[in-house]
Amino acid sequence: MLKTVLVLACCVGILALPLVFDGPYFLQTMILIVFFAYMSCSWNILGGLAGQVSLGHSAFAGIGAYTSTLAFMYLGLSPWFGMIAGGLIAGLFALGIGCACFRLKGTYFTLSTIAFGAVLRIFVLANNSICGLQTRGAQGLIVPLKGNMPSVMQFAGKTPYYYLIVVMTGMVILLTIFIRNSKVGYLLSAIKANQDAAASLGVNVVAYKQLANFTSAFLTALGGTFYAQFILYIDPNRIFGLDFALEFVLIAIIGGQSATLGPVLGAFILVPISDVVRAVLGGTYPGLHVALYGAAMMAIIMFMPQGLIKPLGHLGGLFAKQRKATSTT
Amino acid sequence: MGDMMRVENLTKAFGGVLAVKDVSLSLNDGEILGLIGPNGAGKTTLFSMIAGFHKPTSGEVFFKREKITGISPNNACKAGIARTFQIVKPFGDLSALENVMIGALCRTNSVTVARKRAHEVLDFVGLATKSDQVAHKLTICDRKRLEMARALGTGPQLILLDEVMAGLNPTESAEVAELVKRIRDEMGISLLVIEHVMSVIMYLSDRICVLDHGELIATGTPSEIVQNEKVIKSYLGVRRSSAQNRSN
Repeated sequence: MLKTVLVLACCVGILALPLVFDGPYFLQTMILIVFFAYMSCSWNILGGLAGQVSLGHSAFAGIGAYTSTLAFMYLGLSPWFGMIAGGLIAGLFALGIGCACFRLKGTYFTLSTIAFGAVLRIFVLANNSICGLQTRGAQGLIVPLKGNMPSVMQFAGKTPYYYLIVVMTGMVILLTIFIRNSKVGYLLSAIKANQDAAASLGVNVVAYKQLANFTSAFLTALGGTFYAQFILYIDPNRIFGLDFALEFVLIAIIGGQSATLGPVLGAFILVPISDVVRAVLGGTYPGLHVALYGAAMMAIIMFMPQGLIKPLGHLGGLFAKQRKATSTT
Repeated sequence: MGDMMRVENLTKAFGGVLAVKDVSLSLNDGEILGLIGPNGAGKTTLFSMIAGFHKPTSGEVFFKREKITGISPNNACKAGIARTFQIVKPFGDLSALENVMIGALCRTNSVTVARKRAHEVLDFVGLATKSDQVAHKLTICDRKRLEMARALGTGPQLILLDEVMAGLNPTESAEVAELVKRIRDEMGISLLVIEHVMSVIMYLSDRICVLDHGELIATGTPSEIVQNEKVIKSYLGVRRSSAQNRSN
């Protein structure tokens, strides 16, 4: 009961936010927070549920962004459809990596994802056109500006972008909850714990890992399209970069991978921190913000390996127990 | 009555080492077949080939008269062969119930059906009161029970038990042996059992196969095995009189 009330209150709060605070800087930060929550939740379907750590998810974001933008520029295809195409292409690439690595155990998959991201980044940077389409190499792509045109995912003002990414994040959270409570979720948790034991219990390990892999890459690519439409510019160094991929991973790890809302919590904590630290220290002591950020991260990984959501969960449990105790006395 | 599982001239080479050499044996429907032998005799390798974890170098595996040589582990399980591991591999962060549910999901797509089935199985192995406990917090004895419960959850016709008694004290291993017997008697499941505790294997087995250096050196009833000169020399290592005493 308490939980439902809390969840409803959070939902209403998040939806009403732009009506109360409408400063552009505030909204910009909120959009980025929710965007990273979305990316991290998408990563978590593979990394958290199936335990397969990918450090190359930025590649899928990049594939999504480039596919929808190129399709818009050359075919006039609305990014609403382009994002689905980008998702499918990213999913196919993910399946390819999985095909090569999922029969092996250990870190091969993680290493391959790093390599995939790096190769794709260099490929895009070095080529001015891909398949005959102008991608302008390192200059990046500018999304053609159409003004306020919701049919091509371009809006006047930031509020619609905020609602769009909130809805996308809500859908990923619901999908995660659905997976967790279904057969697939149980089998993925078995694969995460021990692949041999899972196989001995009839789990087709490779097939289920590929399912999580495809879903995760697909959703990440949708996020890539959103990012391109929001910034209206694609910087290949950023969108294919390892930093970008690491942000999804760290947000999930610090928030708590094993909890559905862990990545959301992680995004709400880490994105503002990195923003503030960068703004305050970035000018005077260049690089210090990265060091501080890293130190905070190490502390959390060492002392709270389950992520920050774990102690919060205990707190919730404590309240529940107290309530029970008071109600019985 | 008929044969449940049969291996023919099974050989497995790891590089130049022959772990299993030309082994043929069969297991009847509803039988408990013991598999003994010194460490490194190839018992676990033989298991792994039957359960699909290793592909045999040569030879064939038949399950219910169908050839299943080189099958994948998950398909072996779907066909009806469940195995346990010598070093138990529970899904540590999951509850006992969830561990068994994953086995039960092998036969159903419904989480509700799997949960019901898991409760039944946990009840059968005596873990009903611990169903909500996280697996890595269970005692070693309970983890062995859980390992068997998971195997039972998959609805098998044949279970391969790899040293379930290892690490248990005599009281616990007597309890687990009783459980193994009940699995056969009440559920009609055939079992192939690797075990080092002689009193247990003598008590449980209808027949015993003895492996040494990858070769099958004897097959027979427990009383035949304890009198077999080759077995005494390579494995039992005791005088015949005391071996007989043990079997009684």
